[in-house]
Amino acid sequence: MISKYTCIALCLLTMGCGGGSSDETSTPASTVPDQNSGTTPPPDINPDPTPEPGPTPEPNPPETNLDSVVVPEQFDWSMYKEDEVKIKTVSSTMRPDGELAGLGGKHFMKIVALDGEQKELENPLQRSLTSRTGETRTKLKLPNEWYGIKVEVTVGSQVCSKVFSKEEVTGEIEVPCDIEMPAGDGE
Amino acid sequence: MNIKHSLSIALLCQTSYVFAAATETNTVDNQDGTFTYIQRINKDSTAPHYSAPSGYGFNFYSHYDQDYGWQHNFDEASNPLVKIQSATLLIRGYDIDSEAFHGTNGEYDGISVDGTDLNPGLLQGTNGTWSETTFDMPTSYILDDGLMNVFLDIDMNHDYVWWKTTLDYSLLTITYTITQNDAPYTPTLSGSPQGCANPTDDFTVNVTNSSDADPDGDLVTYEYRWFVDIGQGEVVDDEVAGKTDHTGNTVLSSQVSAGETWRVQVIATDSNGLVSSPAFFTWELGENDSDCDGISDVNDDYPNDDKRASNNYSTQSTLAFEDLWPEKGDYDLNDLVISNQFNLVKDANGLVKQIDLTGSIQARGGSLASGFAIAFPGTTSANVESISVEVNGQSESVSAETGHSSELVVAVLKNTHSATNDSQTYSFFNTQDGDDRAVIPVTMSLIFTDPVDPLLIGNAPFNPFIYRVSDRGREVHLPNYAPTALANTGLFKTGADNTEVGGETYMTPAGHPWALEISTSWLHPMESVDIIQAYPAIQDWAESRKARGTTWYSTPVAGKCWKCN
Repeated sequence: MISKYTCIALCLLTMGCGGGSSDETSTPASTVPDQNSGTTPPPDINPDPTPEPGPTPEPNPPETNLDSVVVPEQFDWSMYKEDEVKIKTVSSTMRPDGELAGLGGKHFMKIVALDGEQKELENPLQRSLTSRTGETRTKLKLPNEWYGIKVEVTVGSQVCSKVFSKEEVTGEIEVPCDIEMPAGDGE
Repeated sequence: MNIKHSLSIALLCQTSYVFAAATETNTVDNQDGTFTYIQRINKDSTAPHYSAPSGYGFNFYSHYDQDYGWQHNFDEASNPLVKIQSATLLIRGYDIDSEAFHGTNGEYDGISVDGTDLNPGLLQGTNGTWSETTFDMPTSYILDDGLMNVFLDIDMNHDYVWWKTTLDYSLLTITYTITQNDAPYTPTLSGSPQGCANPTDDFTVNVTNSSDADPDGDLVTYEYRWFVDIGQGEVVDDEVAGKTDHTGNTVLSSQVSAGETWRVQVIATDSNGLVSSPAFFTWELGENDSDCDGISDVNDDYPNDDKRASNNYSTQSTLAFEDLWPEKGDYDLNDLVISNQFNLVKDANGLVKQIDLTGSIQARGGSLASGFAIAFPGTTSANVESISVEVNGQSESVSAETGHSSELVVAVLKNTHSATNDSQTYSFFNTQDGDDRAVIPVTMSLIFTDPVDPLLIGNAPFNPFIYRVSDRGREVHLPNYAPTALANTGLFKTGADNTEVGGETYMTPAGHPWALEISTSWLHPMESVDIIQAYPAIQDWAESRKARGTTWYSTPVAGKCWKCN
């Protein structure tokens, strides 16, 4: 709460503490009073919360300000979910270890954003060829209000796609294609 | 004579040799002024030629993450009179499933020497049989230091255990002579057609330095070896791919198909039998792909530009700054407000060739003169092909800022004050009652010489910041973004700042920021109106760790923000 009192005092003293100070390149005086032209940094004030004895006028309720926000630890103020993700194209053939076998080769991959109503946004987030192992590694930055993404992969004449919520867009995700792989040499 | 055919004969001549168990190195005097050097490396070879990995390597079935290497040497390379007549590397392997019918899912095992891929681009073989693949070893790889570091990349198209192979040996064969005579120059080639080809084209390669082909003036002949990639991702010998084994300088259109890649290797041989380093010319045949970049025209935003393939737009966002750092401001977050949307123009491989910014100065509520800049990690000023900036329709002279060695910094707006200082009525710009001027458009186009990995350069808006015009080191960044090399780090932990280099940055000890990126267009608070007053829901958003109030920026209090009465 000290910070709240500090800011109340500062605002009263400076009538706005962030408009900046003037310097040699600042705007010349104007016809409207410059409410933000504090020329010195805010003074170091330690308000004494102890009330003076005797009657005091009823104070106006203090306005809350950003200083009054109790910020959780390691809060980053970002309005996005940003994660590096590996997107793999997989076949319908099972590997010996039970995973679906990845489709080798460079394929065209399109990543489209889905808004909060899961509608596709007009401009794709990304379009490029995968690596020769059929994968793309990318860092997607998704606004918190979006639902997620849709990934489309073109393998030959076949288009395979899958929708992912933004919570799913992390680590390694797979886009399945109904394509058989040639039998490998196995284990 | 074709190099491949020459090799076959050479191998026949060697059949009388019995190799010892360890690395076998023999030099045979051919009694005609030439010598043949042979070195075979196999499972029994020892360092420095080969150090057997545990559980894989020569004579082991090995898979995608069991790649390994070995080293051939040719000590005679240090003799300047040693001149090479032919040099090949033959690799014998078993069960190499690189048949073309596998398409992109066959077993493709790449071979490189001293870090450069050889041609053909993979081991050529068939299921369940022993196969031999012969590569022409470029003479420059031999004569530079006499060492050839060979590396086998197994099953390049898969990153899990699928195909396996085992190698018997790697055989280096060099036929050389000792003479004052010099080898021919490396051919310089001109191909027709140039660049991206059509399946109706005949391919022809011509040597353009044939009139000055040899430093001694010797007569020179040329040998042609043709390769083709019919969809495997690497070129193989044309006959291996089911085509005619071409040995001249032309391939007819009847041999080629859309989507293929053709490459010719040309080696000059002089009248003394000395050979040049190989030269290559490559034709790409797009399949509905005018620029042959691998992305069909229907999906290509730049169908005739092989350096660009797609526009990739960021969401429009708003950057809002306080400018008094390291002192606290008034938290109206309007000292500079810039809307922005970036287009990352990427090539077919998804690398960033160009970055275009379309934005505008929405407001300037600071009386301090600030510049606005962007730091781009993952590249440097040396990689800038061009930068163009326009402010309010006027071209600005902008170049990469000097003093940054590990990232690129572009001062997009050198003085936001001068750009917004056109009123005799208002000292600020679009932050006071009645001030409703048109926003000031800003565009930037940044083109890289070499395309940049998007994982390195990051997402838009990258690392934007403002700095004080009169004090360049006084940078203000978004929370947890890094200062640039020109930031005055002596100001960290002064005033209200609690920046920890390598940790949390540009926040107060209580975690309050000096800048925000709002994930949409945004109506900034009026002058001296704390953001909490204009957007009360930000408090719940922050205090709930974003669990509530996710769209706080869309619920302003009437009259507290610009144009939201």
